Amino acid sequence: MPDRPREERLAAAFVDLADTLVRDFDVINFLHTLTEHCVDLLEVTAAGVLLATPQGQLVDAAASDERTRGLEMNSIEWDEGPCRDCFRTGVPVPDVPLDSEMARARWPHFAPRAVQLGFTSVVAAPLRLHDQVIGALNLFRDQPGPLNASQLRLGQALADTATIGILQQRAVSEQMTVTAQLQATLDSWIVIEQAKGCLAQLRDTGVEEAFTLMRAHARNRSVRLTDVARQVIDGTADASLLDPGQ
Amino acid sequence: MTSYLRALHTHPGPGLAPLPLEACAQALGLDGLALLLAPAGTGVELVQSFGTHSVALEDLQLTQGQGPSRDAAQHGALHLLPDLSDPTAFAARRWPGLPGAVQDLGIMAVFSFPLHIGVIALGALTGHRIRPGPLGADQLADAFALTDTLAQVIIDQAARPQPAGGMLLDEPGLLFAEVHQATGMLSAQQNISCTRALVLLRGYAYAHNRPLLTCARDVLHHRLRLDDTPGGSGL
Repeated sequence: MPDRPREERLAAAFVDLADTLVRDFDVINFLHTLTEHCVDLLEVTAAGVLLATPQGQLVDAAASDERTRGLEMNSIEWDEGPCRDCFRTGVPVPDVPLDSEMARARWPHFAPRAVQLGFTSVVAAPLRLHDQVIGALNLFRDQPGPLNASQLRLGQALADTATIGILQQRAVSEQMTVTAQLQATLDSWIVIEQAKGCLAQLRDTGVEEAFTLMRAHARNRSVRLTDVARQVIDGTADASLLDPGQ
Repeated sequence: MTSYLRALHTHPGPGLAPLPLEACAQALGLDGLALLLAPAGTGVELVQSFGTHSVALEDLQLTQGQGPSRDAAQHGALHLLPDLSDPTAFAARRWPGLPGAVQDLGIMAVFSFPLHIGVIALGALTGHRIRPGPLGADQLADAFALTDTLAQVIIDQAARPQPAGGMLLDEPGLLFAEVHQATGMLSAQQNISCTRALVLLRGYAYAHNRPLLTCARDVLHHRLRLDDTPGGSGL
């Protein structure tokens, strides 16, 4: 990857992060890609992402390496850290030197641990679209000095793109689920009408009576009417329903 | 139009709200409107309609297995056919034989709007007019607003938890229910699949130039028996 010109890698990163409307979308994998692009394109040594569950609990979603992963997990355990703060407030946590009074006051467990792991400073960017904050991105440096302003903007842009990608995917996924429910209902209606005709033929009755027989059968056996209907059409329904002699 | 759109949103359910199709048709200057939903497989189901010729128009498309309603519902395609007598028009090429048959019903213009949520197609709203001519700009705008609202209402109702599937299924959902009943009956008579039975029924209706629904009723009342043999025909 370092062989390609930076501009190309930058463009490729944004395309990657927009590409969420795929059949087998995996959000963890996706966020891992985000951390990799951050490390490649920004002057940071590591990146980590925490993502919120629907109930609002933060979980460690991805990290660019094991060391960072461990630190993010600790962050959750301790309920402490830049990602957590960023998620709660919805605004970026600006560059903080980790080996400082301020850092230790703010993150009494997180800051020393991060220093121990070799990190010098951290910046956190929210994964946010308008009023919705779905998580946060940590960017760690191991060199002295802060991340410069244009780098910060780029980091936020990568985070924003990832957020939009995730939210779009969720919306489409939800639409597909509801549409599938609608289609299933329609299919049930069709199957039930077909079964009425089929059973009417088999039992030599009218269609209305066939429907009554199916509903009674479904009620007595505590099975769904749709399932009884499918069985009638398959020929797998109980003999007591299909056989006029009963 | 806006008051009707509001009324749509406030229907408590269950089942799909009976829509004020007559009022919508009048607002759009149409003689009929039909609401169709697309099930998971192929095809499209008529669930509500207004207008003397709406059922016949859908019957024709169902028999021929082609038409703007189906294309709109399955592919999300918008089809505005202002003059079915125009031999150079798109309709003549896309659905051979259909424009003439539609005109025989007395219909000269057909407009099929897809109902969709995002990228997903749910069904279609098909309007027709006896007099040829395009929809006006205002009417088009109203029609799009109507389809957007309808799609949302349908999705909202579908998303509600259904009471044990019971109440929803008691609603008279499908206007072509008898066609499905007839295919079920035929499938039992001939020991063939329902899919094959529908092909048989459609073939008979097409060959004898009779509405599918009429043929279906004949099957259900034992006035018509179809044999699934090569060259098999009815009574």
